[in-house]
Amino acid sequence: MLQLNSVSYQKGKSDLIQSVSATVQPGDRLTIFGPNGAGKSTLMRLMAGIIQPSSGTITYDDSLSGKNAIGYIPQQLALFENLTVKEHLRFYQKMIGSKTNPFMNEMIETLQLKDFWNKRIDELSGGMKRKVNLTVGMIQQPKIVFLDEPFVGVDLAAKHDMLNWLNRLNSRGVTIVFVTHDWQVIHELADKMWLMENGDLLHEATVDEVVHDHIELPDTSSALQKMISFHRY
Amino acid sequence: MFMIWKSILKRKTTWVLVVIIPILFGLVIYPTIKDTVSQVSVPITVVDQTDQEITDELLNEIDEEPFQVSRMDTLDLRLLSTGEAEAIFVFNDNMEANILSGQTDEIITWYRTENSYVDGLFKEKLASALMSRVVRAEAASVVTQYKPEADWEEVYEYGLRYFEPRPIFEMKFEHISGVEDRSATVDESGDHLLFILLWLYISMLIGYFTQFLYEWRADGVLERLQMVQRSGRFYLTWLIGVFGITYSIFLMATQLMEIPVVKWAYLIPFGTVLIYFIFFEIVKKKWTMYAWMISYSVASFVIFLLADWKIIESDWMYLFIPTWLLV
Repeated sequence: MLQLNSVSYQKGKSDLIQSVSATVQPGDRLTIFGPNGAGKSTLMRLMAGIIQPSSGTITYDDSLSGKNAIGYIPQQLALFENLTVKEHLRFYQKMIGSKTNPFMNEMIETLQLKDFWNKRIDELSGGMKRKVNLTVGMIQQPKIVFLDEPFVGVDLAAKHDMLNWLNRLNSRGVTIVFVTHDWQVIHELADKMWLMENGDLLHEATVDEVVHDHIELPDTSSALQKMISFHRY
Repeated sequence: MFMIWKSILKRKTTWVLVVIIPILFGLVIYPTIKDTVSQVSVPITVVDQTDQEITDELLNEIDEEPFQVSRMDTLDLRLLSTGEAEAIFVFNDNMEANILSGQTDEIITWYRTENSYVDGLFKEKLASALMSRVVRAEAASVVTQYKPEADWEEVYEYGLRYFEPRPIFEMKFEHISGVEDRSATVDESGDHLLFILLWLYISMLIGYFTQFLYEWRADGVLERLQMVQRSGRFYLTWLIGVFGITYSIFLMATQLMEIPVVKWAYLIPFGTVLIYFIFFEIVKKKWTMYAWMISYSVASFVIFLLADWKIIESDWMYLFIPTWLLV
């Protein structure tokens, strides 16, 4: 579906991503895991096509060739503070040239956006903003969706709604790739993990393998190792 | 894409900058500047208690820049101390009769203070107009004495022709074409001051709109728009909106303030928007961009004034957009 071939990315003199080769399969539930500064967000932005690799190639299969096949939900709340929820959805709908459809209605209902339909973004709670951010990023009904820490500042109820929606999408074949530091979310939403540190993809494994210590990391005292050990809490 | 402008227009600050500030400028700052410019003229008061016809004639003859002559029928010396009058000229009650009879002693009393500097020029003009009449009256008296059939009024009217005086010396006069009319420069410098203030305001306004691009870039909105649209249409929408607002204000303000705009000056808002946009593309941090643009605006202000005063005249000055008015 999506293949990374020796992908590197440099910014100035820093190597943010160092020769990463890996594959994302259709319907994958993949999390990119690692400490801050590991290059997780950069790798995801590369895969989403927002930035271009300095070297190496990223190839997509035919299912991802359409204009709206890729969805990206950034870590920041990429929203207009003083527009309402309704205005946001109408705006992005117009941009992709779509009308209200069953997919959108289902998404709005599952994420319970109707209750806040005419509220401005700056009047919403952090959790609601995240829900709108998620909705806007998926309005084009993507085949693969990249989510960069989508659950930051989200309360448990909102997290439940969002996880419910993402799992439902995945069950229909949508590939989910996300970055998080939240083990609860990993358990709920991921099957596979890419473990990263210092721009290197150190390991690809299933969540079970990582949780049950079936992997060996080169540096056992590293930040990544400490983060992995947190799954027990 | 109109939605991005809806988002901008929903902010109160936008309305303050686009509507309230121009209105305040029009009501408060513009009249103040115009007053300041008009204060360059010299206030002179003429007192004529008997409302003589000759007073009108004299004042009509010398009523021109830079004097602002007001006529009164009573003497009020406080005008000098308050600065409302640079000098006061009191005409004798029988001035007209005295002139026609050739008596010129103390027909005018001149009041001034140690702060009066340029009233001497008015005195010279007044004296010149008076002397012309005295000479003509003298001529009329001499002519009618030797030619009783001559009409005194007619000779007085054309007295200087009868005398046909030869000038004491003749000055060679050559007209140089292409030299600016200096009397017009006084008005233009006032207009140019208003113009550079207008440009500073427009520059600030564009800076305000550019701030949204920075915010949207930092929040990931631009990335999202680019991702969904795969084109730069939102930049185009932003540019069209900013051009629309700045040109509307520019054209309205120059019309209302009657600032003469040459053809190159119509490109000034365009150039200013473009330079901000280029800065946005090059400079990634908002405050760095502001530092550059404030420096550029201040430099443009200074260079514009220096160019306007002809202190600098060089091609490089056109790097500073407001100087395009002076092309």
